[in-house]
Amino acid sequence: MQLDFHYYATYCAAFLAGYSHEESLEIAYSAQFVDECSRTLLAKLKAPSHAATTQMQLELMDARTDPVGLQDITRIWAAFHFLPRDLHAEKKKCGKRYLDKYRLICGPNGELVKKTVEFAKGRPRQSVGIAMHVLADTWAHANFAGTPSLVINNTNNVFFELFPEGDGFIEKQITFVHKRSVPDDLENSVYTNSLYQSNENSIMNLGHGRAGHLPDYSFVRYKYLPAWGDYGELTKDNPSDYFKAFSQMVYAMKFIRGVEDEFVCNTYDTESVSPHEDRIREIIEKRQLISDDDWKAFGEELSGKTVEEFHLEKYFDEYMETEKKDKSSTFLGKFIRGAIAHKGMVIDEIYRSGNKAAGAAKEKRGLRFRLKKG
Amino acid sequence: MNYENAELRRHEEDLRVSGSGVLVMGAWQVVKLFMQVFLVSPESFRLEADSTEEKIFYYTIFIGMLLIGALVIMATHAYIGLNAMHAARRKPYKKGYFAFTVFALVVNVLSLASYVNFFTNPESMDTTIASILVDLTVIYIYFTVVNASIRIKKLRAAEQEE
Repeated sequence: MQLDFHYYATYCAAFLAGYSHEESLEIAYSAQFVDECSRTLLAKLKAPSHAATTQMQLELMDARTDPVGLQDITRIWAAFHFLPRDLHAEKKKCGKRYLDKYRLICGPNGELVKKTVEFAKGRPRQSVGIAMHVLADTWAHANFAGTPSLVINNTNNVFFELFPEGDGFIEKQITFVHKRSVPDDLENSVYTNSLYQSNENSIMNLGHGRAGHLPDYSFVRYKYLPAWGDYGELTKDNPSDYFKAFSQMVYAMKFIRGVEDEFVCNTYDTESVSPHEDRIREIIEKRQLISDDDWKAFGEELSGKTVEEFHLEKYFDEYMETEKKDKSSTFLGKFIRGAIAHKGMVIDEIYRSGNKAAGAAKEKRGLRFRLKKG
Repeated sequence: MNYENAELRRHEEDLRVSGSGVLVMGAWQVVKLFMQVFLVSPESFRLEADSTEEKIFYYTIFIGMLLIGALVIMATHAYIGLNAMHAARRKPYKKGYFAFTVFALVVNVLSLASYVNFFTNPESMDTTIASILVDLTVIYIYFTVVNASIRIKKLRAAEQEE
């Protein structure tokens, strides 16, 4: 997903869940910051590099793809952007290596997303923001895995955009190009994707690179043949998925606030969202590259206050000017601790399932980081 | 996930890939031909002639025949390979490629019999084994083209009936 959903839509969902304007902004900032917090940025802040929640393009270009390097990549992407749906998924007639990657395929309403939301309960709002980013991405990035893998993440020329007509859809062949400097051409269904690389572990095969930016556009519906699908055809309805993601975020944050007793998968807060359903669907289905303005306007309608634009360096001074012993109590300090804790939880779960694709969990108490609640 | 036409897609992909394999094999056959003439059996290139002009004439004829042979090999493989790929992608294609493929498959299978005598010579065992492996690969590719073509025809007919 993009900034429009991770920041502005998360703000709207937080407000509908009962958070105040200021609290919603903190949650929204944290949710968007997951897409910004790279090792390069952390080095600039002199913050722990293992708190990284993303990798920038230049970092990925330099990333090693040997077994250790692959584990490092998978730890970040599987934990924060492609949370696995089913760590015990079964697939016949395949080896362990393939099965481990297959089990990393992202999707909504899995056991891990439930654990992610429960993990955020009782923790600072920064952890709530992290959880909402992860939850939202399980919808957008479904059917791709957060590990470089051609056999899981590849796509081919069977890729069609679906346009509603009457009771059905008309199909239009999507053309993929590799010009990152040119914006996607929505009118002619020309989109940018990553270059085809036959090497199984190439960075080009990480996540939804082979499908370009399509999963992150809320308006698009498409069908394609996922590499893991045994020639089966998969239809992705982003407008429907994004609406569910929004509704589920509201429900999740109500649970985190204590309004709901438990977080149950496949549950959506339709009650809070339904008065605004038409408005939300209008934003989601509007055919545009970025929906920042529309979500911002909606958020301001909800709260009656100005939703400030996302300013990356908002909390940098506070973090850098605070003494080392007190850094963990700053905004970014709490985010960093939350990110490390969440990452540790997810890696732990992946490792316990018998999957070493994200590396080994640190069993010793002394090495495992525990985030204090409250 | 919709698996309705998954089998058809699988065979179309098999046909496309094996069609490109036939093209590659054609290129390899041409390379092998030139290697055979210039490296393995160079004495066939040494023509006896009375004068230099005669030598030039015979060499020209020889090279010409070599090139024609290479062209025929490449053209045959290109005919099979390209039409197989077009058939896989539902583009216009010439149906004769199937007959050519069956013929090539039969010829290649029968040619395996020629390897019987080679096993008596232990010095060239490694090259013999390598040769057999390549020939088996060629047979597999041709078989895949034939098999995929038949299955695609049946599945597309069934698809049209629906």
